[in-house]
Amino acid sequence: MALSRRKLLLGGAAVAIAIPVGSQSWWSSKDFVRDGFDPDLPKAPAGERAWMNWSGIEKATPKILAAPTSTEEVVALVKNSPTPIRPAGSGHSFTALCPSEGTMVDIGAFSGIITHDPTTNIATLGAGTKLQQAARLLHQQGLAFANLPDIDVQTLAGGFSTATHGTGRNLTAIHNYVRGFELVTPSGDIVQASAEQNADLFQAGKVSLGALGIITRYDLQVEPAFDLHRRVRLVKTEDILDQYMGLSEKHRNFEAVFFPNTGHGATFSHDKYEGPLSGEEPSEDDNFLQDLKQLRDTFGWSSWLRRKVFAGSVDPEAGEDTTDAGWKLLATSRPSKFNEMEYHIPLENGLATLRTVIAKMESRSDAFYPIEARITAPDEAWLSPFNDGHRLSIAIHADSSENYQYFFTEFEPIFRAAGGRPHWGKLHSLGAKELSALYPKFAAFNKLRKELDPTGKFVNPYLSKIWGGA
Amino acid sequence: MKKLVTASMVLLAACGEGGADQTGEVGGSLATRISPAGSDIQLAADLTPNDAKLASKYDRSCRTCHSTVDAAAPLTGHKAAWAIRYDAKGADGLLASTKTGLNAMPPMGLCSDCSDEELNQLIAFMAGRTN
Repeated sequence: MALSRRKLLLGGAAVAIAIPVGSQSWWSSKDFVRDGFDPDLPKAPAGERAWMNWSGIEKATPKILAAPTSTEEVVALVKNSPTPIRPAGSGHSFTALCPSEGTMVDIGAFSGIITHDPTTNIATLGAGTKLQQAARLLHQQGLAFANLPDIDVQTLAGGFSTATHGTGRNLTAIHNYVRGFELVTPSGDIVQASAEQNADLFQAGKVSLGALGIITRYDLQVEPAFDLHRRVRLVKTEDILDQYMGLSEKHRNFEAVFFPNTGHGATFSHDKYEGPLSGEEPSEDDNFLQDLKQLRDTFGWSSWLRRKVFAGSVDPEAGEDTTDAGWKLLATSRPSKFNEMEYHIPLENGLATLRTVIAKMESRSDAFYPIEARITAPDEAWLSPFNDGHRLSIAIHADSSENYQYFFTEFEPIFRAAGGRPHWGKLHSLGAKELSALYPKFAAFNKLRKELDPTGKFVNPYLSKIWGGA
Repeated sequence: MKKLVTASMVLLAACGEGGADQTGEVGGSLATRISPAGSDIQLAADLTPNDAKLASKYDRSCRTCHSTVDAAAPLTGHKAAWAIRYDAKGADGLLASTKTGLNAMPPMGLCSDCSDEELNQLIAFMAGRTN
């Protein structure tokens, strides 16, 4: 069944009930904007630059925001610049990994494909290459990454260093494509790392939180380019939960999202495809997100009514079938800003935790952002959240203008109780004590970090908490 | 967060203004009337500056969002979308928006090493206002 997006748009059949019941003045007058919300850049002192992360919750006015164009410039920076020194990618981490009042280093100029060995399919790319740029450039050479995360504006270094992942029971997080890298250490040495050369540094540096220095290039395992068939289906929440594990085994890539207080969610599957391509039509996703918000704004005071209106408004046969190049379907840009917490749950605890999280989110009348569930295969990096087996990643979101503090008080305890490990780039409250208990190699990583950075040049206040003091 | 779902609930737009303003301060209703056609989307995917240095910065900074319709940024070469922005803000205003960031665009448009002159050139290129 071929479905187009446009065919799924519905008429206004429920407008008649929407208007009168939507006039609950006490609810419609509710202000969802959180206290202290300020989406603007901070004002920098004269001669300095201002920086903030994508969602706007982390800000800095570093004395130097450097954009080196050569390894030699990076060496000079780490030797001479005010500390703390922090590498900054595209600013897509929600945690304070990047902010520094000393020096922030943007390696965006280290971009593009440097070499490709067709016998091994190992490509060397600048570490500042954006994921989408990398995928596009690889595709032009008939190559591809095996998988991509759902957002693709991060740099390779930023994505790898935070263990960014896509979904797929047999697909690892993207840092596992790393076969080698070049690192400028905090002391200014240029070091090469691979499984054969500086093996400990290699396993530590694949997911490094930008703590070991500045990585300037990566050798990456790539594969021949491929096309995918994407299927999207609107499904009742309970049906998704019942089928989740089976579908995750059936499809190359499988994930589900759940729309709070609607009784529904959506499944997304991708499978290898050969044949003529339909191409991707412009997405309606951001409009749908705004519809979910409008549903919350109008009917949030009644979970029952919210579910009824949703069920009466959507086409139960809604879905999408699309075929296109893999890199075009796996990832996308997201115009709407949000804040996010994601924990990676051991697979055996995954579905029970997901049910608890959905129920908890549906107890909040103000929630409207989807809950997302994905599976990632294991790898060996020391700080990889997936280095002890498959994990189900459960992500919760809130509009960037709205409250997210309840993530910490209401949801993080659920994730923690299930043995979850936090996404390194997303909101969490853990410090050295908790992380040491979660990662057998945490102490080894910290020891190696201290050897490379004995004076704590690369430690900002956030990382001081992570490492338990510099 | 992965793409959500394709079913849309038109009725909900009737309950309020509905929909994100994807044009910054310009206005969503106007943007609706200048939605890019398929040819505009293809043009955005194909265009690149002639100058090699500028092309490099465009490729690693601007292109990710301005060549992708789903990013909701004005598409490279989509002159009508850029015209309303020039009309509303002028070239200086567009430069200022780029430097401070706007909507999903980070400050400096992900080009920390771009000079004001280069940003102006990149904006003009994307707007189809260069020879």
